[in-house]
Amino acid sequence: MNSEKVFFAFFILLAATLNFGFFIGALHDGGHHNVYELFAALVISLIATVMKFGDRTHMGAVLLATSLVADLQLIMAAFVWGYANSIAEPDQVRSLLASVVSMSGGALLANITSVVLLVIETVTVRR
Amino acid sequence: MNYVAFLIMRRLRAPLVTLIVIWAIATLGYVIIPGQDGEGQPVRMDFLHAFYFVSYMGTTIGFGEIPFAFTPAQRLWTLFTIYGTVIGWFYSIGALVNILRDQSLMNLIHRVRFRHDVQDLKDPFYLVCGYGLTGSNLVAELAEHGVQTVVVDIDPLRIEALELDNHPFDVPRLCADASDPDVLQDAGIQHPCCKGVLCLTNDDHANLYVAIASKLLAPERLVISRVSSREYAANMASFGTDHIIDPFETFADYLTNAIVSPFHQLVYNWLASPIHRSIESAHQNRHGRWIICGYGRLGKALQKRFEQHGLRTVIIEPDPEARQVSEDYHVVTGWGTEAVTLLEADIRNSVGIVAGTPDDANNLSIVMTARELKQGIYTVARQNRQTNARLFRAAKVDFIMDPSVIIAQRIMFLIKTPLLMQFLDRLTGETEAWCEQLLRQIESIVGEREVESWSFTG
Repeated sequence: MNSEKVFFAFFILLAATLNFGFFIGALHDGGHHNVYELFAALVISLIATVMKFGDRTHMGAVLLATSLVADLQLIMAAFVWGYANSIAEPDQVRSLLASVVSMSGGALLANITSVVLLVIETVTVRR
Repeated sequence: MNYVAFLIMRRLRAPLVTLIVIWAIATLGYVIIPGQDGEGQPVRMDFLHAFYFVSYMGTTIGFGEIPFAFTPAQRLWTLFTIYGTVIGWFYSIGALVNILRDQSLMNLIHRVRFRHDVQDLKDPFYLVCGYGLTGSNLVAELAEHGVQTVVVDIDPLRIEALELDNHPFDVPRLCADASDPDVLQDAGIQHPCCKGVLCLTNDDHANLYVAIASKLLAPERLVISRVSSREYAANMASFGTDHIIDPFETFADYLTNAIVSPFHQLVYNWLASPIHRSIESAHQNRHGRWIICGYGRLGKALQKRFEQHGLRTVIIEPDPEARQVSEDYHVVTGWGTEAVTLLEADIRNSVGIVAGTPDDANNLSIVMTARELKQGIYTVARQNRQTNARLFRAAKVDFIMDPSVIIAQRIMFLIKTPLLMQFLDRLTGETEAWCEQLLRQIESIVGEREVESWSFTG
């Protein structure tokens, strides 16, 4: 067992599940989307990315790429959330919230890709 | 070499994860802990303000409490997070700076820069392995003639010395083991502009490695190597090293020539070195008994040649058994620096003395003592260190043997005027009278001015 891989699997799966939890719900309904979940998804996703730093394998490099995509989407989502919350006019908030959720949907896709790659890597391990 | 980059990324993991976790916990704390606005109404910080506050607190910038003055609960949390974030920040920055100052990273950066510098070379260049006395002499002289060089040396001090040496153009340099084929590859051994490889390290085995690697990676490349033992010379010759230079053998040839066939030697001297001696110097009689102090590499090479030409010799050696001096030779045990030993070697009936020990002070002392005992004795001294050149000149030694100069001069010859080298090799077939006539002819044209030679290719 490679403890490094276990830690990474934990973080990437956690990022994907948190991301999913935030994403699910009606697009415009703020009550369906918890900002703490977005925050947790972003933090965990960042940690998962750092965990893939310095991996020489091809799979490691691809996982770093997918995880960076998720980070990018989530950071954008967080920015838009902050803008919507503190700066934007009240009538803009609905559409901004929709874009936050859709961006987290993009991040979810990247996270799912990571998980799929992880599963492929795991099943190809020969004992 | 690329593994260093991965290693550094890997080492960044711990500090980055620490930073992310500390920042996340601190931010979350400010969002959860309720505050109060100006009118005493409860208010929650949102993530934007919380992250803003943590960012400037953690990096020790500190703009104050925003958007409203903190409640005691918020201040309590701030107390914890100040220490947490600042420690985390310092640890991460410290780790990052450590990684950037890491020697292996610096080496990697230098290596990459070196590789690019070499790849970008457009002019023909020579690859010089070993930047000792010989290497530095040669690089300076080649630079003077507008020839580009690339230098590899294992000793960081010598690479620093190269940085300080003021050459008219940039010399790409790398501190690495030249016997590593990857290093040779980066140094441009297969570069289309590489004209030749010069193996000048003070380690015969390293030279052998470089020579054999060059011959395998680029068989058509010119390879010139210095050696200090006959076994290595034979070894290098066996796989086609183009020129092998042993400074002691070369000098022994030179000196023997000067004694046995002075005009041959004078032709060589005139064509090789800018400041030449007069024709009259060839008439000086040097046939007779010679004293050789020190039976090392130089002593052995001289003894062999003197014997071939029937010159009588006396060897002065402090430890004849360890040096395996043959029983047939006339040996005096001692240093040769004191009058007693020199008198025992019968200096009064000798024409010349060779101070060939590996110590410059001893060599100078031998020369001075010998002169005191016999006026006008022909003196030959081996100069081991470049810094002592001034002393040897002041001592007015007739023949100074400086290994690094000999090698550098010979290699310059081979690079600059290969045909001249062939001419000088052919010279051995000619008589002394022929050489004297040649010298008279040259003298009638150039007079006292120096003879400069160069080559053209059509």
